[in-house]
Amino acid sequence: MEDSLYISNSNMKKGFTKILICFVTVLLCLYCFDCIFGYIMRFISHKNLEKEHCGLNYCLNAATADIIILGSSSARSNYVPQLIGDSINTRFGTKYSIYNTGNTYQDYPYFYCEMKSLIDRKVPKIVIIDLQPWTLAGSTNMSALKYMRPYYSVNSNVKKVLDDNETFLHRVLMNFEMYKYNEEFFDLLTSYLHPTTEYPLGFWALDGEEKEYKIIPEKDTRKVNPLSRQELERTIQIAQNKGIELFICISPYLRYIDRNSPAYKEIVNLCAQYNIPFFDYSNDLELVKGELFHDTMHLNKKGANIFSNKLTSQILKSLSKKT
Amino acid sequence: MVVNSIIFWLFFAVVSLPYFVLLRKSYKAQNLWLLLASYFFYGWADWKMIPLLAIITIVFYWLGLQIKKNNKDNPKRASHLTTLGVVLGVGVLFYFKYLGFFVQEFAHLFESFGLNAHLSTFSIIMPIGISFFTFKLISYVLEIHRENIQPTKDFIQFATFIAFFPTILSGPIDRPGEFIPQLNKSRQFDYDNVAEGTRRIIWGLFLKVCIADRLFGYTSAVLDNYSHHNATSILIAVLLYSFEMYADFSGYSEMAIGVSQLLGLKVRENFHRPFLSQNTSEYWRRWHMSLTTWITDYIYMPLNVRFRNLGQYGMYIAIFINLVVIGAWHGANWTYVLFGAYHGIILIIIAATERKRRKFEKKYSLKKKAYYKYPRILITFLLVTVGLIIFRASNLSESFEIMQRLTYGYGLPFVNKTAFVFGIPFILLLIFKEFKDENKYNIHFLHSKRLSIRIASIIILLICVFLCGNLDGGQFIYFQF
Repeated sequence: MEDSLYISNSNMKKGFTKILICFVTVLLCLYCFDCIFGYIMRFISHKNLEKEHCGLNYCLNAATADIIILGSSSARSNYVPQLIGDSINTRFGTKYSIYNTGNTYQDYPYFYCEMKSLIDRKVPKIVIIDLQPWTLAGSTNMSALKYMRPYYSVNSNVKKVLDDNETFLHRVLMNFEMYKYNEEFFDLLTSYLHPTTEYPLGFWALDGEEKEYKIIPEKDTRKVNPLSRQELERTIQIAQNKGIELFICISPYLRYIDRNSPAYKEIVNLCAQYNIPFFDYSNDLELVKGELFHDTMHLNKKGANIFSNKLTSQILKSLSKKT
Repeated sequence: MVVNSIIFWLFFAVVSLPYFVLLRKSYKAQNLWLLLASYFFYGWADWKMIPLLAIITIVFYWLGLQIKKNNKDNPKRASHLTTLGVVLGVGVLFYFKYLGFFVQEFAHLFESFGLNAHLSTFSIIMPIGISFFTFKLISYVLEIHRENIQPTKDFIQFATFIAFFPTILSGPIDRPGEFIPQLNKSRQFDYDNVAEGTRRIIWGLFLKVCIADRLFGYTSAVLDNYSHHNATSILIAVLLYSFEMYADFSGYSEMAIGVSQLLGLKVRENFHRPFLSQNTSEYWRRWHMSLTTWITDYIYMPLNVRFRNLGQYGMYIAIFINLVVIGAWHGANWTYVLFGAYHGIILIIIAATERKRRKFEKKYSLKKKAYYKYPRILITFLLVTVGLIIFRASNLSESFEIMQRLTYGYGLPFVNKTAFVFGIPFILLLIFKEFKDENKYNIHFLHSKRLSIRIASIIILLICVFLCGNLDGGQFIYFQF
């Protein structure tokens, strides 16, 4: 009996030691890979001004433009920076540079982060923020925070936004390079290996037409998220304190926009409160046509040109009044 | 606290250290520790339902002893007690899972006749894992009545079997005859168990976060808004949903089996490469095996015996009822009933044509021919995919609309980068591995004879999980059942 117990104990010790060695080996290999991978990705990502990361990366690492467009994917494909910049420069005889930093899902935590980072580098003259009419009704888009993770340890503004929005567990995981580049590494790598010039000044031209769409009137009764409101207000305050000409716009959509919704009204109120020019093209009859849209949310190239022209003339009027 | 969360692994570390270090000499102490851990785990998910779990466990423990006592001396009373157990188990399941649905359906029925039923809609909170632990309880009393097992006199042992934390939320549904005897001896730290358990957990994690959660982004975007997508996108989404479902549920099962194995306990297998089945009958023998064998043993077999005077038709009725029960087990919705009925009809066709088919296969020696085998695998997969359209839809009309949308309007598909870049290549890896395993080529990298290859495989899988997996993914699909 004692013998069998002794054998069992010694087997257990051997087994435990073997498992421990395997476990430590796996951890060590993962750690080494993590360090090397992080080093390579840092090098790649900070040189990357293409695709999904170009907008954020530009704001964080390379922003020097005088006119900046902030917003989500709608901003990226609806605002033609060349056209807007040229019109302003021709009208006022300036030599302002322009960049469209629009990126998928980018919403209020990004505007704040981007605005802070822009100012840290160089204060822009004009900032155009493209807002979705329902943006203040939503909670933080957690899945979109992933775009910021690669910059966590190199940019204090990103760190602050992520620390404020992520859970404790995510903050712990942020110490691992693989987690920071989870999923994003693919975009960063492909755009580094195959750089394109398809996105001039951050603008993504979309093609195609949206043929099958229905605009069904729907009431939006969602309440305003106080956190979203506060973030937008903070962004406005930063811009005004630095003397930036700020414009808030709503792009055209191939869907019904409830202008009586609490979120929409709050945007209007905020703009009025801070005396910010507010341009809403969501239900513009000249623009809300299937032939001008790539899908219900994004204009195609033709639509983007028409919209940018219309918007620029409004901006010029507003700037002329001030000057 | 799901098995793919860090909090679970902290909990597991706290449970396993005393389990293997302090308590390893006494199996009773290990069982008690496991029971406490299981109740803590269950309470973490839904603490309000702990009394229900405890009471129902006590009642079935008592029933088990009473059935055994009366089996020989008073068989009639034993039968009554068994019936009571079955009615109680099914009743609890019915009350929490189906009552609200039936009340609502009756109210609708009355309203369609112009009568106001005055049945205010009420919602009953369904205890998590109820479909799994009630089936364990029912099998316990049935097995004792059939004298296949002896009831355990050790209440802790029985309660541990019912509440065992790796399996209580989503199975596999264990059988008392297989699980309880394992609790009769102390479990030691064993290299083979730990190594195999770890491999299964990592593979399960890979299936969940790299395949299921990656595909979820596409399937939910398309199928939840199918009216906004063209037929190509819907077709891709329904095909991917089959893999998502498989990766999600088999991923969970792998992790549950792996965790059990780490604790030195063997639980039932749940999947055996179901997408390599050559007909849906075989598919059901490979998919969610712990449920299908349970229903076969306790519903199909007795029904088959009962209807035997009807000849072959009796078997068809039994098959149909069997599949409808499997469908309805998933929840209170007509879609699940239709899902079961759909598979029931296919299985009846298979059963009715089996003799002729076998004759045909034998005559032309088709069974192992690739040109016969692979199209059959593909057809089975497509039939299963159609079933899953019904399964996933929130109501019957939605499932028909999705099928209708598949018949027209093909064009460029909606593209979801992560599903296409990560999900689809990993599906190909999964298919490759399953084919190799099925054909016994045995190149399974996680089970290589060389330790270095096994370790390298684990490292590569973990890198895939961290780099390509959806680490913000949601719950397992089967938690809702």
